[in-house]
Amino acid sequence: MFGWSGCILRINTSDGTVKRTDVGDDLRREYIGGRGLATKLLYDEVGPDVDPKGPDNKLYMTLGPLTGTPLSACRMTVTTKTPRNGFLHDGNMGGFFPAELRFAGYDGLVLEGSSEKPIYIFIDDDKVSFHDASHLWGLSVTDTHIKLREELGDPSIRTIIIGPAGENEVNAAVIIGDLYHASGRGAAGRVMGSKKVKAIAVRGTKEIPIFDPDGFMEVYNDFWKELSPDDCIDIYHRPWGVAGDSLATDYIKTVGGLAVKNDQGFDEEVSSFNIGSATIRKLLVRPMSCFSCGLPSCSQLIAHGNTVLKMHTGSIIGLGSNFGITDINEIMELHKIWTELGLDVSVSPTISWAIEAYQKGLITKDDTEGIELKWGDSNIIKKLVHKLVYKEGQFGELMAEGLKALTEKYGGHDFALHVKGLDITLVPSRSMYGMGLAYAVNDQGADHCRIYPPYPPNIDAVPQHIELPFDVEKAAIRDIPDEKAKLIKWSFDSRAILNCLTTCVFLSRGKLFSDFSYFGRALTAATGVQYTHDQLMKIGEKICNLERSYNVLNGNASRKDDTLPKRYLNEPFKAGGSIGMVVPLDRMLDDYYKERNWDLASGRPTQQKLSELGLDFVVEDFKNKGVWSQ
Amino acid sequence: MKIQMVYLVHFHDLTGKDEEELDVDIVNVNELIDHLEDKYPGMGKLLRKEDGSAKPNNIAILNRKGERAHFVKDFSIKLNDGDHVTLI
Ligand code: SF4
Repeated sequence: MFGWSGCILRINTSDGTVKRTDVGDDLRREYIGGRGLATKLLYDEVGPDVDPKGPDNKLYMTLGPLTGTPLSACRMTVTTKTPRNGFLHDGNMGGFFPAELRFAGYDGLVLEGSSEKPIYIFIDDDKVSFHDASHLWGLSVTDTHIKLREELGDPSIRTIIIGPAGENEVNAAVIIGDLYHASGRGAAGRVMGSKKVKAIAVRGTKEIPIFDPDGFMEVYNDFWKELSPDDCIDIYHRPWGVAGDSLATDYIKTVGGLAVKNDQGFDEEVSSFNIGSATIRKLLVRPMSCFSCGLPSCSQLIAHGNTVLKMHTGSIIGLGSNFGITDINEIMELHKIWTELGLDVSVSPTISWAIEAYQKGLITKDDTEGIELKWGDSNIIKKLVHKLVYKEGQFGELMAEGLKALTEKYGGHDFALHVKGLDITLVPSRSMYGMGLAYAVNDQGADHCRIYPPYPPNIDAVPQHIELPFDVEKAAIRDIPDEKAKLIKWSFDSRAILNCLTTCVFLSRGKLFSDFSYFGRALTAATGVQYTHDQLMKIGEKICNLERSYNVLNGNASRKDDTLPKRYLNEPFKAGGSIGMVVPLDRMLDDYYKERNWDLASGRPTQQKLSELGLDFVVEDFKNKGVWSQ
Repeated sequence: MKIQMVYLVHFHDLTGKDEEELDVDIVNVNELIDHLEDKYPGMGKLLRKEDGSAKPNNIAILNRKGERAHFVKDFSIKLNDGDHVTLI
């Protein structure tokens, strides 16, 4: 076999058994790997009767046939049925762990069951061992990582770890790979914690068999030629390579839409928030990329006292402006705490909601057990996050469940910034209508990664032979609803492909943004199986339909779930670069369902669409469940 | 007229500044770029193709009080006193 390893490692944490299974040629070809493969396995194995908080839920970590090759193919999909609402959740992890797992000879692993006591798992090529982790339970991510490396006697072993947030089964708990790479904010860390798995360490020494090495090198050269910083036609490629994603803060601030104080749109405060790429560049220690990344400096290690941090724009906004905090040192300190607890930064809207609710009188000191909530005070944020992670008191318990639980008790729905129970990641939706639609229809909830980057390809970089299904010029205009549905459908379908391979989405710059024949050629050279641009786009569409179908069957998903916080629908910016903008969602939603050939009233796939995509097993399941007759 | 400039990443590297206020006698973005080219040689090449049109891989964003920010693709666009121009 070429490209794929042909082996999925199934680890039963209840009884400590390990099975090596093969998904078979048909499934491999149809779903490729990563997100596609995990979605299909979850659909088949974790049905409506499975309690996502219980031992029968599974946690999939899947790789693709390109993972571990030098094409920024450093990613892993982390998929589970989320305890938030029973929908599907997947995250996408970079760093070094995914490639190492590939070198150990696997296309992925599945955590099943639930251990009685804390454990960690060590995968050493073919050997899998279980270890007591009682002494690690409660430790921070960094301390666990250091101890694991000491215990296993390998200073460069690769790890994924949960912090106290995962151990305490907090919904916003993530899994942290190699100290810096978080994934699975839809409660994947919580599911790992429910299985009592503190960490997985891996060491792999095998090679990835490539079908056509010469052909692969040819595509490899074409990839990096296209991505040359000087020639690549993409507005962000070159600056991103120098300043990393902190640049996004500058961009968001300039066009209007920087989230300030629970995204209330205070313009005068936006102008006084001066943290951005210039701040981060002054603190730069060294660039910090993932395995085989070709970008010189997508993300960076920055100095924080006598230690270093890897911080993205999500932290600058989420832990800075959204809390009214303007001091970079305080933001870095919060970021450090968040990471060590294994908590996702995008839980920021849960905390900012609490402060706004306190100021509006919906909650009082009695609820917060004496803490007075106000903006701009990092000590208050630290106290709140401690309550959340350790589920202190009823308020802590509710925060750990998230915004849905909080608003059910206290009200304040209109300014609760979540979609489908998942906190907004603060990439602005009001100032980019396409982003607003993408948040609303995303099957995961308010997650930006399904369409990243959130703009259409540059028209000068679209090759002649590629016919995009939307008007690029109109799709690029951020404050009109036209063409956004087509753009978002295309973005979702095409990102799904990258998540199957599994390459980084930031690779899709210049021609690689719109011409998937590059990826098809790489796949064909690696596996020997023919993949064209059109075939890949169809596979992407199929995965998106399967994901929605999963949510319909497991969480009764429908049009009512495809919505946005009221703040983004009703409260226009009063000043700044996005003045007057609110998201015209209904019109875009209708357009989107039409583009997908989904039922307009329910937002669910039609029988015709499912059959066209070869999803006849879903048709049967929908019929059996009476989905279309509801 | 007074124009507030913001320089990011390689524009920052070229000018050595994060931002500055220009007091210039100009009409449109093209003239602004000419002025910047005189002050910071190399600026024109970053922003314009050989035929003078906007390069597709750099961004100029215009902010004007009371209006939405927009990308400047046509350099003949008129500037007003107090405009902010961000170069990324
Ligand atoms: S572009 Fe960034 S996220 Fe992607 S592989 Fe490179 S370093 Fe990792």
